[in-house]
Amino acid sequence: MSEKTLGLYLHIPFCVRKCAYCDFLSFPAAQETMAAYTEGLIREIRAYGEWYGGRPVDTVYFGGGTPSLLPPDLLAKIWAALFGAFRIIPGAEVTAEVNPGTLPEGAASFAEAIPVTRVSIGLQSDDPELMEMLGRIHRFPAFLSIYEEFGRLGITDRNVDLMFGLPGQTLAGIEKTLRHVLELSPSHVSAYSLMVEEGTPIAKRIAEGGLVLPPEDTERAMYHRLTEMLAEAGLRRYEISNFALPGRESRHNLRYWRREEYLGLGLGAASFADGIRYTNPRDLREYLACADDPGTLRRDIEKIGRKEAMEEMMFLGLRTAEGVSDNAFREAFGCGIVDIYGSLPQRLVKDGLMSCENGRYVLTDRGIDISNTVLASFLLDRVPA
Amino acid sequence: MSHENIRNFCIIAHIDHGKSTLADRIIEMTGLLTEREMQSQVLDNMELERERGITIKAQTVRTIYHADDGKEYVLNLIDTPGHVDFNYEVSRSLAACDGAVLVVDATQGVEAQTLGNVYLALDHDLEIIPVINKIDLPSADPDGVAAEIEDIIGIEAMDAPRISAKTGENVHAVLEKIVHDLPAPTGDENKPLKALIFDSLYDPYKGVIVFCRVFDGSFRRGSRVKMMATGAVFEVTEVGTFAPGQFIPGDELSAGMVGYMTASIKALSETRVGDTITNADAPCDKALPGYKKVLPMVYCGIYPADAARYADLRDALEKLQLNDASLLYEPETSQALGFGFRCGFLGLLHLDVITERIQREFDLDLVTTAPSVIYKIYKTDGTMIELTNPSNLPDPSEIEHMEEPVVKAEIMVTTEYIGSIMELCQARRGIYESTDYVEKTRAVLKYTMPLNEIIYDFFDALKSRSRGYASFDYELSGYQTSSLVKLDILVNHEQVDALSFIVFADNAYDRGSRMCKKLKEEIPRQLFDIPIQAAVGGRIIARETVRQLRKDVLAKCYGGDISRKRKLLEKQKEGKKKMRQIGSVEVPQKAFLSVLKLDDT
Repeated sequence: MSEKTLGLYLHIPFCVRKCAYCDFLSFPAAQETMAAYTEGLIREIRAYGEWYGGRPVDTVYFGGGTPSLLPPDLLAKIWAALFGAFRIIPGAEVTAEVNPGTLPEGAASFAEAIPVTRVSIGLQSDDPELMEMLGRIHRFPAFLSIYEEFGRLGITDRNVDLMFGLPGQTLAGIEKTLRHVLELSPSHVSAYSLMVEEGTPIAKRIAEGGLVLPPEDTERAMYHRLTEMLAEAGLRRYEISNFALPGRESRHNLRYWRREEYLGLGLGAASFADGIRYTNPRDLREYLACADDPGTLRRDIEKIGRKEAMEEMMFLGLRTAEGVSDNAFREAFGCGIVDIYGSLPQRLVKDGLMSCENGRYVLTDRGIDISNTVLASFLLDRVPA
Repeated sequence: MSHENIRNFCIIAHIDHGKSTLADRIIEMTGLLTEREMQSQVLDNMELERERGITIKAQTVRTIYHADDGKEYVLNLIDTPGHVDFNYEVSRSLAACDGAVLVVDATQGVEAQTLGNVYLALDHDLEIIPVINKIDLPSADPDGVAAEIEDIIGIEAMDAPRISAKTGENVHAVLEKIVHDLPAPTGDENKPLKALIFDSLYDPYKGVIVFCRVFDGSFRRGSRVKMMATGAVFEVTEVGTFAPGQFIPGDELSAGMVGYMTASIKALSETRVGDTITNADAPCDKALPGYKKVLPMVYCGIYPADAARYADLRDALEKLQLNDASLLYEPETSQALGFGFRCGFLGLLHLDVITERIQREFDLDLVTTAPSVIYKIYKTDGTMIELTNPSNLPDPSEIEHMEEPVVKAEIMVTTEYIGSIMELCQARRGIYESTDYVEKTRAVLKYTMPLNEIIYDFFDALKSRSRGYASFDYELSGYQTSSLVKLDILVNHEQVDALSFIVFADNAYDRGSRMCKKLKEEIPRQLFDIPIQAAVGGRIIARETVRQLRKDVLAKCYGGDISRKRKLLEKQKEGKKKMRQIGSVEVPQKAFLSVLKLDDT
């Protein structure tokens, strides 16, 4: 039997109220819907367990939506099914996304229902006006109390989610937020630049002129300043939007950039296993109808051949601080990066977008600022020989 | 069948007044096609024509009509294109007819092209039957329109059939009018052969198919015929008549008939439209007057977006020219765009139609350069050159003076927009001639204008200033001396030959700075700052800068959905493929047409 490890992602699509910037798969729901969903999710877990139950699972991630909105009895059922169906190894990283203002029975019952080793708390901002604009249901004190509560429960791997580049946000404002957060000495910070997604309330308000995004230069200055401040506090950037104390990186997140396998379970969840990528249905009724039948559940199947694998290694690997080494590329494909990409890497180095040391390519700060342009250039026109 | 029972006619109308729909009904009601076979617009068989609802290529159909008098008539319906750019094709179709059905929209009344077409028909001595269409519409005013036809055009219209081509209502009356009011063809079967070529198309199996109208004499398979202008002699392999979308071989074509012939002719150049076909052995004494070949008025460079597809572009132009003799092209090269062709068109719509057909029917992405008229450059050494490509303009020191073509423009407009249209014409260097009121609320404005002011964005400007109500026609009236300069555009300090254009000297600064602003909008931000400059004779007159790209980053990866991320990157890469590399700058294809969008209204 192969001992290749596996990650599990579980999607909990519910939330109290949709945030103004969110276009992710989430929606408010009644208790009965949550129960029905839990039941469907468990059917899917059992079905996949039959296929992948032998593989050692070393990361589990509950994402959403808001996993912490689910009542502890339902969470406990999910965990029991998971533990029964898969080989979750001792020392596995178990992360859950948690939002202040949810946790219906408190942090302790939550941690009892799922044996989390790590929580990711959605703060986004400490500025009440910005939080109001984003449509967040909570304020800083609510965040602080659950942050501390999980700490008291011995869960010290705590991520704080932040957003920058928000309408009305200033460079001084983000500095103040950072200082506020760093006082708590978190082990991990994710800082996301606001992406204005079509169809969201915030996109509408920006289009109508009611909200104004900060200029691109200011937005980039915020990013570089927060990178600097986090580094000073010992949190190293290990991926474009992720910062951690050494050794406290999210192992589950790293799977994505390192092209390690994971199963996405639940509504609209994405998987990568056995050389294909696919996603589950995004419609709840459709999902529940075929949750226990992997054959009909999989949508948008993308076969990852040699060409796609090479492209992915470049455009995913370059998002990380470790970058892509020529040795790793050779090991995977039997040829060097320049054999496939010719003069491209050298050109990008010359343009100051990548650096190269000992055959390892890493994006520079300028390369990160315009990373889509750089990463898109690694898509290949034809299948390499 | 005797000539007495043949009617050769066409339908003429302003665009959208229902010409093609009436043709459909006539074909349907004469019973050649079953209803099942009817496509909605039988005559407009090109995809593009159907989409735009306009007829570009003239087509011809023969139908049989059993009239109320109990006799059987052959109706040869010769279709004509409906737009001013295609007057040339209208003219050659009319030459084959004896009469015309004039369709006027009961809600719109007489429009600019109604008049234009009527004048052309009268030039060819055609009998005209007016028909008032679209009476099914609530706003129809058939009596008012009949009065208008009598007032403006001066032909009897009170008993004009009031019809709805859409529903078929009263179309029968049109057929009876055609039979009773249009003349039968005249001509003598016993005289030497005299037939007019009014169209041709190329068939890979039969060679050139020549469309002709026989005026005197007759010919059949095996006849030896001669093209009087080219002198070429052929042995006829097939003659016949037209059914919708197909050819029906027959025994012979004789005086009064409209039909086709084939003779294993390989080159279209041997069978010029307008030429006269006669017997090779006993020719007639004099050729038919034929008609004037219209020359291209607008030129532009056409390049494949993907340089590797030059040969495909050449094939596409060759094939299109077989069907459209008014399209001219010759190879040219551009530093910016590589190998391509300088093409000549009858007008902007013609240009538009051809480029769209190339992209659609031949699946080729194109880059087209700014359109240009033909300038006459008188050099100090006493010679004159006709300039169709601005980048070939000689050094100013070698130029004695330059002349540009001018047109007589007629703009029909409702009175409320007269002010803003006059302002527009003045801004485009128009010289006011007259205002003729056709009725209380409508007038025809007459201007003499440089053609170069019309070809850029005049149509669009006219439409936006009149909310679409103005219509416009023009004809070339000659050349005039002008103070003209070449405006060059530099992108990242490199001159881009494909963006150069000729402009009236006083307008150079204004046009140059607008061009720079427009290009700044069209050229996406790149890795470094890109200066965009306009220059006249090496002197920079305007400048804009495309600032370097500051931010292009995807922060979040939703729950490991890598496929979604890949799609975003692929979209970005596709966008890049639609760019042309100029030095180290990527320029989108549509930027080359910026000069067409400089009007700021």
